[in-house]
Amino acid sequence: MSEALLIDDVTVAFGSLRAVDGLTLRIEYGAVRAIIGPNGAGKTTLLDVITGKTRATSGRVVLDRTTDLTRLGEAAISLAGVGRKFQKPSVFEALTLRQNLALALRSPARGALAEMLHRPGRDELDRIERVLEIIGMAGSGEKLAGILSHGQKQWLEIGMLLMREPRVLLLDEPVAGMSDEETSRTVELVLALRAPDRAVVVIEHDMDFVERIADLVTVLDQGRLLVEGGMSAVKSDPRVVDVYLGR
Amino acid sequence: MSGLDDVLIGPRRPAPRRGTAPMVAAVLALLGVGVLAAGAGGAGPSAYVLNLIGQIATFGMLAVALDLIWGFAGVLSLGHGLFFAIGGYLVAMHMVKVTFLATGTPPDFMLFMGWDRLPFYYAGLESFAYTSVLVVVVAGLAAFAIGYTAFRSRVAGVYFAIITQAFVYVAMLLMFRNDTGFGGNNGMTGFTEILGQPLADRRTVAWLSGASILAAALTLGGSALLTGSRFGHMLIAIRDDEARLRFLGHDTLWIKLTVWCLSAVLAAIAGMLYVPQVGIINPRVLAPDLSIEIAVWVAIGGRGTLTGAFLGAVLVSALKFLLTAVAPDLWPFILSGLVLVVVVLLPNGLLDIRAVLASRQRRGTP
Repeated sequence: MSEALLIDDVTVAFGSLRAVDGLTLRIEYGAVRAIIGPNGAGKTTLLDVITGKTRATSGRVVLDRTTDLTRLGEAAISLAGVGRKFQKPSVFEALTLRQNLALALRSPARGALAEMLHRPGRDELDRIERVLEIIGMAGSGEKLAGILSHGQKQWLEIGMLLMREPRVLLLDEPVAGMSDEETSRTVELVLALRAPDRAVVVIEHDMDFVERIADLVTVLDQGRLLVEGGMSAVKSDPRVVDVYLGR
Repeated sequence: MSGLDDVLIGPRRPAPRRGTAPMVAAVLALLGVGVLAAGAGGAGPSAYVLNLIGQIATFGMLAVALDLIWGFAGVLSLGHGLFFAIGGYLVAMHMVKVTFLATGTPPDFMLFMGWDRLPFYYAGLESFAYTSVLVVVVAGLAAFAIGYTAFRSRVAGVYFAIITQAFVYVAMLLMFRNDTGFGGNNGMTGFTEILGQPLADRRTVAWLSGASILAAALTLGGSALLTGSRFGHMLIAIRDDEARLRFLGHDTLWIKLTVWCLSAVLAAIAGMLYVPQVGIINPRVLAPDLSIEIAVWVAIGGRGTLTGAFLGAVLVSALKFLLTAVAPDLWPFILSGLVLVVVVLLPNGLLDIRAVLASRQRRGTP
């Protein structure tokens, strides 16, 4: 498996607090990676650094062994192929599902002005319909995103990321607040997203969910790497039981 | 998002699908043509009425310009008077220079400053075409400078609103100075003609009024097209969740700057149409409370619909014309009362009145 992302000795310090502390991680294509850990372990901060929302105090984040993401802004990182779903569902509530998905049609080949004037072509419109099917909302394209349920908003947001055909997909707590049935559908969706040329990273607290989707689990604690491995190995590791799962 | 931001940035109103704005724009265009015809034919309303309609149309245009940036992109400006004044002052300078060249009578500020010629920046301003280009360029550049610095530093919401207030206040202080060649605290007046037509003629009055109505119609219709397009969806996306749009790869700085500069230029054109009709400009147009009043028009009519902004401006300014003649002291109280009524009863503005009444009926309350 080839390397998608290298988190290289990254530290994020807020004053004296080190939210991420000299962390090094390798994330490979073709797999679903779960990142777990207690509150304050630095999971969301790590996603913030990867996507440019927060600047690393030191260290690099390298995409495809070539691009140092810490030098780019949020929009440029997104254009480089990194998509992020936020912890709280972030969709454009006043727009329809189709309009939401159409806004995700952002091509690196178009400048800012060309993008404002762009009219989606036939293949792009087809892609919108395909993504609506993938997220299980075909036929709801003209509904306003604001009337969707919590779970549907999460799927729509994932759909917006899929429009971009991202190479690295970061999902921050995709099943938080979901019913069991919604969680099961999200499992199917995430597994369907796994592709040889895509790396999927999921932050989640729901251990059942993690068990069903993750190929590899990384446990963080206090901004540092605690354990990495398969779910069953991680679950029985005494250090993980100690800091996270509880005895 | 805090409660204050909700009030400032406004309701998450859906993108207009078949809004009323194109229809209102069409009606306005007909009215504009009618006014032009009334001017040419000599029949119809008096010059006073035509002039009043024309002035109100420029306010409507100004309100639509503000709605583009506030109702759609969620960026509240409390300093749009600045751009309105840029258009107004430039056209006033043009008319002052034309009058000076034609009659040899110097404007007041030259007399009290003891100047025998106009300052160098009046060069070329006798040309109406050059003046028009300058209105667009100066308003666009001023907006770009303010917008670029603020949006790049991610200044938004109430902080941005305060900055725009500060800018319009600074501009007012500058214009109060008597040595700048912009008329000082007395402003500029005594205009005689525009494009060779005497301003006192009813025909010119009708012509200006019709042009203002047509400009408002174009602004309304054009804004309706714009907000229904992909660009309009981007604006709504910025209002609802700017970070999400940015993480989809859109550099929101440029989207916001585009609509901000467009809004400023439209406001400046409205000012350029307003001043020849009212016959005077002075620093009062830059008073912070007048800029707030523009936002009040939009809030009263309803944000994010274009029609609401236009009607809000027309209704409130028509009411102001009527009431300031009868009871000028009462106007601030009436305006504040209107704002309170809208905030408490009709948070989405007057256009919402039917929805609010319907939901009251459903609840069974009178």
